[in-house]
Amino acid sequence: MMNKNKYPFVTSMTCFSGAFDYPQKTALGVNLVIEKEKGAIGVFASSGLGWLLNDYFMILSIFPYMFDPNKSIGEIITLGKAKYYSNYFFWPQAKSMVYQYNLIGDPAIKLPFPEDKAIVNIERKILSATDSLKIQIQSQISSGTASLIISDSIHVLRNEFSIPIQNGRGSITIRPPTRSGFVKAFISDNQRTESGFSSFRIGGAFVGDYSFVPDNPKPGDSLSLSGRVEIENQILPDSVKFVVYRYKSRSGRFDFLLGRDTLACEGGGTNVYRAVKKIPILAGTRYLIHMIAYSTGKVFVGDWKEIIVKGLPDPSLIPQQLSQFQGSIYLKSQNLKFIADSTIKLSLKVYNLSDVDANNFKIKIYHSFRDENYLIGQTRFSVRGNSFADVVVPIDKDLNIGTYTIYAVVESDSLSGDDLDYSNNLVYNMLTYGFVKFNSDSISITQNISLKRGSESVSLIAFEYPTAVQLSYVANNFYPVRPLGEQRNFIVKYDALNNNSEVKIFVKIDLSDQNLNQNKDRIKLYQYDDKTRIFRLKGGSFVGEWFQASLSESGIYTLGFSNDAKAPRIEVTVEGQSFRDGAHVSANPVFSILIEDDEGVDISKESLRFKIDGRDVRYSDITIPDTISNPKNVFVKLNPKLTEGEHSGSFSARDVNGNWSDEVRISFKVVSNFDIKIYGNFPNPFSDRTFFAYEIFGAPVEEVEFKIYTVAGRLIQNFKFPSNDPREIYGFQIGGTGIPTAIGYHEIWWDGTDRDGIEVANGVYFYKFSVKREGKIQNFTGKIARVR
Amino acid sequence: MIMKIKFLKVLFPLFLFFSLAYSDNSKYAGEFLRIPIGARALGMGGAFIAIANDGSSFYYNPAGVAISGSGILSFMYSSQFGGITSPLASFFHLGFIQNVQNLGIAVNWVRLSVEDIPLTPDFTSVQTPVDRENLVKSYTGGGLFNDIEDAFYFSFSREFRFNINFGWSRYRVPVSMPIGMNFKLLNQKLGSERGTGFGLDIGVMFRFSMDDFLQSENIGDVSISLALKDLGKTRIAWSTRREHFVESTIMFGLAYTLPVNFISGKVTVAYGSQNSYLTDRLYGFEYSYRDLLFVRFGKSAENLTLGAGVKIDFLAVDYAFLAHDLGAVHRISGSLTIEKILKKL
Repeated sequence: MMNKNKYPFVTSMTCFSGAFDYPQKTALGVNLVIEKEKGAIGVFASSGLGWLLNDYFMILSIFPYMFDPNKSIGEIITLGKAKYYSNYFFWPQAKSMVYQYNLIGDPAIKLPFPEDKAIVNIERKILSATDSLKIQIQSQISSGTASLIISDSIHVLRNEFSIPIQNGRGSITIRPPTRSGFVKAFISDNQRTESGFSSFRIGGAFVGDYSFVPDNPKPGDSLSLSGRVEIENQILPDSVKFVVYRYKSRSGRFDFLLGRDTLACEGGGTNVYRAVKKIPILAGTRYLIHMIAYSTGKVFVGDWKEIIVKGLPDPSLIPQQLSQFQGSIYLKSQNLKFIADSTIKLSLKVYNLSDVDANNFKIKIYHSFRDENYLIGQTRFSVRGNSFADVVVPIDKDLNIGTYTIYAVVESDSLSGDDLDYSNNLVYNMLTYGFVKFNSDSISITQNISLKRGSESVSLIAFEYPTAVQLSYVANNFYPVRPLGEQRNFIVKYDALNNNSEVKIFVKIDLSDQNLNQNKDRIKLYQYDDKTRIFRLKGGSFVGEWFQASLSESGIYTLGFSNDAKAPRIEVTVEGQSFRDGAHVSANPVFSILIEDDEGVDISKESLRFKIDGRDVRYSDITIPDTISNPKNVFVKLNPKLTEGEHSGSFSARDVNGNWSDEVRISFKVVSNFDIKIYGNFPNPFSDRTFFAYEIFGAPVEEVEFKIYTVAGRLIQNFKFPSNDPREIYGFQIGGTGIPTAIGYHEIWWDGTDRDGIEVANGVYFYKFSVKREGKIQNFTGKIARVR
Repeated sequence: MIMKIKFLKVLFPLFLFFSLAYSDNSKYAGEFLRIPIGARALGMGGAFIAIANDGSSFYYNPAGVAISGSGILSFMYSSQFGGITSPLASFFHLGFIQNVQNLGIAVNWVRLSVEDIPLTPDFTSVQTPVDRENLVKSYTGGGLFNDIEDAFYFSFSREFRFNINFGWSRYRVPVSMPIGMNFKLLNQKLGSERGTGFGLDIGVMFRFSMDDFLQSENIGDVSISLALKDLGKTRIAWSTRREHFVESTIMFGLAYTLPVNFISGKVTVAYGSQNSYLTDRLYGFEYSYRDLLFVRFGKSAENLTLGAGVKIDFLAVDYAFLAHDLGAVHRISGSLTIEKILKKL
């Protein structure tokens, strides 16, 4: 390769030609690059074993980028490798291929390509042994030089020379240096470049040089085909025809032969033959065309030529992003889901990757196998171009409760028209089918579990057993129970699906187990509470070996028993203060009810029994926090509206095992008229510390402030609530008597120090207590004496 | 060894003595000594330190006693905070000032009385708030006790007059420089306990006329004043065997009096600062009409004051008002010039 100044870029898709990593040896690819005044400008080669098919796939992936003069070699190889890996990742060698193929050379190099095409005409492509090669060049460059190369059929150089180009033309006649080969021309006027080639052969035949009218056929066009046939000794063919294959799918990944046309040809000039009939062009179809010539019993076959015409809808179950990168057609899709209200359906997303709207396509749902015997539902859908739609397919066929591989397949037919790409028309997902249709009042789920509907209005429920749900039993003393013959604990997920009537569940339990038999009466149905994240008792009882209970609401249920007999404890506070009988509260007080239980508190409707003045508090009036961090300590709030006067309340609650707490009874008084009572400070005179006591009636205040002055009127200490200054709220903290601005009794403690924390001397001090409410300030002054 | 034993023998009774009294660094002892005296002074925001020329002068600067006249009987009543009818405290002053052979002598009695302080028991050791609440609410004791704080001041002051010669002998400025001191006895009775103490104040003033200084006419008089109160910290010993110390106070004052002829009067502006625990700044203004009617206002620390006065022959009566967070202070004070009365008789 002595081509000085015209170094090639070499791709060597085989073993070890790029093995740069051998310490003692220099690889072929490296030698090509480092040799002076010969070799290559760059080599793309493997440092390891080549893998035949994958070598091919690799170069196939690089080629689409290779001839882009705007990209550097580095970019081309990176893009090509990415394309290779995204398409062929499932090959075991795929990763190794990406690593082992490397560029030797400068990745910033951009490969130059001739900008335009020159036409290289050889008068006759099939020569006889004595014929000369008459070469004519037509160029857009009117004046320049054409470098001509004549190579043999395997592109080994045989002759090289230059001819001038004048008025866009140049010609030469030479003896062919080889029996068959190529004439390659490179034309330049030092500004623009052009290239072209043609082939020749001594003896044999040539079929090719196809041309189409129109050049770029659109859907609906009729295509007229022509080609060139030459046979040695200038024999004319007996007949010439075109064979046209029509395939589906633009991508070519999964082509389906639509049909094959044979078009007879007639002569149309020197060695040129034209098809008698035109072929109508359909959108989204790949046409493969070649010409066949027959001559005295011989058949001459031309090269294949491909024409692809765009413009079909492309309904896809795979979104655009995945469609581009995934080579696999079997794609697991999380979009596939069962849904149910009064009937069971399957919902999924359907995309249209084409610009053209997809109308009336059919979608079919199969379980287990993609076979018509396993068809469980189908429907038609339409998706606009470059858009997606949520499609719901009614499930006609009943399945048993269990987990299935569910396939969704998009099909086109005479109603919908063609699909551009079939390869993205199938997805699947592993789905749990957990529905029970009540054809009669009782349904057996398994041998040992059955359901009975409460009324005939219940036709469909969601029911999963056993499910993959793994929930921890928070309570220490809870013993889950298995149905007879089952290995796993009983956990079911039940959804009433808009049915109001209840469903009864029957579970057969092996009571020959001594432990179970002893605790038979304790075994109950427990329901999982999403808020507290523990199971709470629902009920149920045994009738013989069958445990029966009512599934009164949607949820997750389990069976088991607990030894817990300890009742929960309840503590009631109002506006942050411990409750005392007869306490004054506002007309709209906030009661905080703390319920504590070692096994967890049940906060469901039936388990909170709160009464005000003997009347039950509605569950919706009880404020339960949105998140409960610990089900063993639950704070709920009550904010009743009360009339002036005496009231009473009672509070009891249940734990998750059904133990009721003692009833906490309180009595309180609503004083709606706002008032402040000052009790003064205790003790007076004081030695070490004293507290100032006051009480707020009727309504909370916005702010309280307590200022202490010397007899000369010097302010030496102040306490304020609310305040951001910890020094100012210090006095409120010692007593711990609730929010200082709330209704009720409060204390402000003074330890006899000033704002600097220094003790004050014996003497009299004045205080001013201010209460701010609705913007108005009420002041109280008094005297505190200190004697030590 | 022997030395050591002797040393201990001497020290031991001392240890015994000190161990009987708990002296600490408590703040605000003898705080009633910091209540300004006189309605005229209070009307000017207490910025009277550099004026100190009436019956209340002993309080602001004992040096002022020498320039406050002679044979004057002063008295004052002040309702300290919260109106006239039921103030938090009552504050009295009674004093007499006499000049004897160029020596100003004053005797003053100051009393602060805080009455009807509620007597309440100690519930602080009761642990639960609910129990305390019950005890507080059911307490109906209603006992009361009083706090009486007296201070007796004995003041001596002398005025020195001399000329200051400004080197280049262009002119001489005659100045007045009174110097004085207070001896004070404190007696505080708080409930059943009692505290007593003895204290010392000293002061000096420097007064001259701007007329002399700038050799012009009617451009006013200047007074500069410095007083040190409770020199070396006044000790108050309590019957509870506790000792408190009254923090020393540095009082500094400036005053400027300008005759304003076209409105037949005099205008005085005064500034004072007193430094005890924190520095209080005092500002005062007085307008006097023919030395007969007076209008005053001022600012004492953060509190605004107003005042008015009338002087008829031997009698001067002043009123002052102080706005305060705890409630207003109303104060009335008067003085009688005994010599003038005697002459009349």
